[in-house]
Amino acid sequence: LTKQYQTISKMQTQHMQQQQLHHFVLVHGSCHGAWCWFKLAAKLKADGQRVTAVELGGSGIDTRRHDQVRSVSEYLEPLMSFLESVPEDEKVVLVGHSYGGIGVSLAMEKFPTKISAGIFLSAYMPRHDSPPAVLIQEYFKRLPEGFAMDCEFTFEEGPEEPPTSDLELAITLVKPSWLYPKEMESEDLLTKERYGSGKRVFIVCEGDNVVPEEIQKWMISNYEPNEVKVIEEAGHMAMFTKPQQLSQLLQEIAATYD
Amino acid sequence: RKQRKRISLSDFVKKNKKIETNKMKQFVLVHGGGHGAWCWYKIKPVLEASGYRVTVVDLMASGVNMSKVEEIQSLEDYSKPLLEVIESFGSEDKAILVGHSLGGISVALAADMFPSKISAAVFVTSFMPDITNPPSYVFQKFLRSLSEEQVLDFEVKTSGTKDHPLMTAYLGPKYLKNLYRLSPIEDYELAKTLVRVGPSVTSDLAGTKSLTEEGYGSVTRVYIICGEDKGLSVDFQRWMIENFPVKEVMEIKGADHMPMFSKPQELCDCLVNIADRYA
Repeated sequence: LTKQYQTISKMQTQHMQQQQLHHFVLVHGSCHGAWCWFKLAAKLKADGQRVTAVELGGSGIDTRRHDQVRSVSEYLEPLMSFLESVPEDEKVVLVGHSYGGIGVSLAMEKFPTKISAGIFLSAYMPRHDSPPAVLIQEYFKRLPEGFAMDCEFTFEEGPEEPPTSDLELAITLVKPSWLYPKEMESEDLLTKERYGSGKRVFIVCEGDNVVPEEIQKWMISNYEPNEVKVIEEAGHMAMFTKPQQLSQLLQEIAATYD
Repeated sequence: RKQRKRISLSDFVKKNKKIETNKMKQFVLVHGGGHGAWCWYKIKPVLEASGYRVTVVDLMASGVNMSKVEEIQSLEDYSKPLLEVIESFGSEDKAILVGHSLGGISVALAADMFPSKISAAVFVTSFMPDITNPPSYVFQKFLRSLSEEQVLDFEVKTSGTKDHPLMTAYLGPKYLKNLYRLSPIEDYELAKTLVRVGPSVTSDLAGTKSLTEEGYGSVTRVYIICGEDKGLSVDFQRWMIENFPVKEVMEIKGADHMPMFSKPQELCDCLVNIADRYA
């Protein structure tokens, strides 16, 4: 069966490369799941792109309970297993949102040859020579009073603007997430040769109240990516507010780093 | 730049809980097989904006309810989250229960157990039990009616023990596509990331005792037909109405099996109409 899959996959890849088509692997942030990418997935697929929205351990409808994903490896297992199954001669474009950036960096470390580019969408983007925990600590230090993490939502409050359907959807689906601060303190997670030699693009999301622009820009200056892109007025959940622009942008980036 | 007012999720939930103490008409929306509270995401805000309280539930092992489907041993087990919501009502509280597809069976059970708390039971292209046959009767008849071509990748599996056999159902992407055929493609993409294995409500699960005349039989029922449903055909929907006549029949033309996605405004209009006259 594996051989069959590999043959079909090879044919698909060749077909895709002729048509500037890519395989996007999407990694959600804390408290979310594969579901959060639904609008973006529809847009990308409408353009013939291949999309895999990974569901991390204990997230979305993954059946693992909160206490069954106490380690980062358990949490990221679905992403790593999936990348393991990607044939050696194939490449994917990895996209991480918010805390998902940590997953992207660790995946780039583990599978440097399978990832043509790591795209950080208002996401944590650690340095290869510094523990990711430093980033998380810096985030909380720089956060203005009263802000919080992924699980907080912002919306326009007022009689004319009731909670949107997108917010309703999120309310029915968000679940608590671990941040794994202890494990993130390890010095050995990332290296220059592997994660450090990968191609990285940061997408700044304007109007983001969860990971404010100042912090996004600090991460960029802290570890310069190959390229910086911007989505205007996106808020923290660009995949909800600007799926069309995000889809276009991802396809442009993928074509650049083919 | 617009000044955004910020509210934490916990404050938002607390704020909404406060609204519950006002005397507002309320809906409790019950999803179909394999689905969850999430499927009402377009409906809830519109109903709330029209001045109604809305509660959406995840039945057991549905949506982000963390129980395992193997733990569901009865219809009551499956419907527990819904029953708990109704049990928590104050003595004066009543609600319109809305069941979609398989959710209608849980709605009927709830109506049987708490008839005085239900102003109306609404069946939206839903399996609607009667008071003569077991609660699973119409659903099992539906399962038997599926032809080879219609089954596609709708997977039914046996689980449980010899003494207590249980069946589970899973909506594969091809079968799901047929249900979502007229719905926005993004909602079909959403569903593919969220549908789960659910219990198949056969008589093994729901028992052979029918629901009662004094309970479920005494509750006002309205049926909403979805005119372009190719999963649960219009003929079958009409047969169920014939089998156990309702107070009123409405129809949403052009709706596939998922009217909350293919015709959300029309569905809301029907529900508001029902609330105006029956709540």
